[in-house]
Amino acid sequence: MKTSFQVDNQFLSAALKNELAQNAESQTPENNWLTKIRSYSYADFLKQNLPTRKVEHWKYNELFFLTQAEFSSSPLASRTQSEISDLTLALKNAFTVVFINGQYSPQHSSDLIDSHVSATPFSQANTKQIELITSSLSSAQQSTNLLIQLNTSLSQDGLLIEVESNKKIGKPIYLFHLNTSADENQICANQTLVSCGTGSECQLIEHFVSEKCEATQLALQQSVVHLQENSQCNHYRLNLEASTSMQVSRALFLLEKDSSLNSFYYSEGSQLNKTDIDIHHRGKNSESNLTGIYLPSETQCIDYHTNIEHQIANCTSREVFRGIIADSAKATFNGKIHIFKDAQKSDAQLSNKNLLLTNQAEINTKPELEIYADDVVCAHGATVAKIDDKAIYYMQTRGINETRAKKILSIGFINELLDKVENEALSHYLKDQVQICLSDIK
Amino acid sequence: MLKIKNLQVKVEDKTILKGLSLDIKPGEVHAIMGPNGSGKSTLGYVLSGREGYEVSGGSATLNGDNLLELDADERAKKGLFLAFQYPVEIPGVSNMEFLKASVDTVRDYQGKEALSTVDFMKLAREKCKAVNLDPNFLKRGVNEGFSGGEKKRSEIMQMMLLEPSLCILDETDSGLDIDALQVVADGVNACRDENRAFIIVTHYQRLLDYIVPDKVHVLSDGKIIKSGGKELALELEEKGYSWIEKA
Ligand SMILES: Nc1ncnc2c1ncn2[C@@H]1O[C@H](COP(=O)(O)OP(=O)(O)OP(=O)(O)O)[C@@H](O)[C@H]1O
Ligand SMILES: [Mg+2]
Repeated sequence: MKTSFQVDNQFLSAALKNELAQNAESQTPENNWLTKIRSYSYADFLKQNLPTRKVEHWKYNELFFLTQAEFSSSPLASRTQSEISDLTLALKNAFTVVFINGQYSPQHSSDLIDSHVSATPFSQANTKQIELITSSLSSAQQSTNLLIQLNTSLSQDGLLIEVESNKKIGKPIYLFHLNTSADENQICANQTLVSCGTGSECQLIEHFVSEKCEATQLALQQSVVHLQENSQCNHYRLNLEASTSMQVSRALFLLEKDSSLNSFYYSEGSQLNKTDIDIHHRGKNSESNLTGIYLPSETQCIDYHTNIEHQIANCTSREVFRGIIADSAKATFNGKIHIFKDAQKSDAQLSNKNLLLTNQAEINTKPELEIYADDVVCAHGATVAKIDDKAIYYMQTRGINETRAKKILSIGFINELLDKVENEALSHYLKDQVQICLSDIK
Repeated sequence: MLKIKNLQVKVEDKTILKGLSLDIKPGEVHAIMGPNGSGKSTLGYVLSGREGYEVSGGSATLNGDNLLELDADERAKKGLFLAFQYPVEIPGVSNMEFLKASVDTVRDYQGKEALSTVDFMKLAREKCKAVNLDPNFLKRGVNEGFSGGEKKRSEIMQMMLLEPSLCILDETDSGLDIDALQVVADGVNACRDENRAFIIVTHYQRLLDYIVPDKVHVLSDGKIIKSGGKELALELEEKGYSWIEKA
């Protein structure tokens, strides 16, 4: 496999390159701050073009297509409410926020009046909100993932979602992303910032789908969730795009003092899903609990790079990811735990288990520890296994055929993770989805 | 019911069964005894359809069906049951889910009516009690963390649920305490009827006090070298195997 190659902006269409260059030069007085962020990001993106040691980040990935294809900007597309409703999850009573090709679509989104939740496009942010956005985004700038830099440069706007302080939001906040079909390769960008106010509690569901088409849809996306002091967030991120889709995205969580995050990931279906997950424990006694399931099949490729930073003392992190890799699919799991020098009494645990269903299926799993404090508890482990022939035979002697046995064993492999989904409607949905996804096992 | 003629079996090019014949009629209980490594478990594996066991000669039929060309699950559906010497642990798959899938397929194959979840639960709990297993075992992973004796009792519980016509019990008595031995024997005896046959593999005559066999066979080096009535077990207990092997 090729371990390094040069990614430059050649994969962007002339019109897109032109737009980015113009943005870098323009200095319109209004939204100046946004223009600035975009142009800085573009400059960073261009700087990173050289194959540096950071290229390792892409090592196991299928971004090679970037040297061979050309992408133009996603067109503005509209869909009827019923077309949208056909694709959204049947959640009871959710605050729905719809994005089509990365663009916020207020007409399909819920009315948030009196909900203690607000949605504000960056372009309409007031001074205080701009401060919040710029400070959160500056933490996001440190990404080593050049496509995330590109995402920021391409995002003409962004959406800020604020959860009011000291409010417990009963209904889930449901962020629904649709990528529409296209005749030629298209790229879209989205950036969303969620601020969970001090002492607030909320449920956040991010759901990504796409329409199948002949061309390739490349979706860039970044979500930044800022958990203010003592806030709690139950987060779910579901990638269920069509097989023509590629998503390169990042989810960044900033955890302030005494905040608590549960974050659940599920991925299947798309040609490529590369998600970087960054958890920054910035305030003492903050807790994070990550769970992930990835089920690539056919020639799909799923890549999770997780990076848990214990920047300060007394924080706890838990991370459990499991993957079932079928056919000639590939998965990469890279789990890094980074414990800063003064982060004493950190407690971090990471586990990654993989089940390979065929000889062609491929997994690259790599836990990484960087520990600079001495008084810490840190445990990590990764395993790769094939389906257990003895267990299959045992089940066969009880009348269960081989295909069914494999399916039961596969579901058994991820069952306990699915049980962590607290939202009932979502839990039912995912349990059915897993059955469907694994129904082709031979 | 079960007819085995001159069965020869190889594992990884090593011949293990060297011409074994056995004829079991409905309602009969046959005990098979014999030294370690003589091929007792191999017989159970090859009859139940485990992969990697190459039949190089002979035949085995169950109620007229050629067992040897069926997949393992087909054999189970046709009424063959093997209680394992070492049952496999399957973490993550609940016993309840596993047993339901098993009972559903076997009943479906046999043209019996499907059980509702409620009826199935009731039945499963009842069978648990019959072998003195806490019904909470149904919620645990299949054999996951079960003690040796619990695994064996769980095998008998499965047998009771599936109501097979031919039951092969491979050292189900090993590792059982005295009370559990009684429980397992009671379970087996409760299943005995004129249509069901048993092969009981054991090293100890004691089990055969509880489950009285119609015939006792000695398997040594892949062949049955002696057959007799229940008294043969007592004789073996007393004298060991060498007197027959030498003869
Ligand atoms: N995969 C294998 N490769 C090589 N030899 C094998 C394999 N499986 C079994 N054998 C051998 O076959 C012989 C018979 O084994 P088997 O398990 O049938 O014995 P057994 O009569 O059940 O013994 P025990 O009383 O100890 O349970 C043994 O010598 C064993 O080592
Ligand atoms: Mg044995």
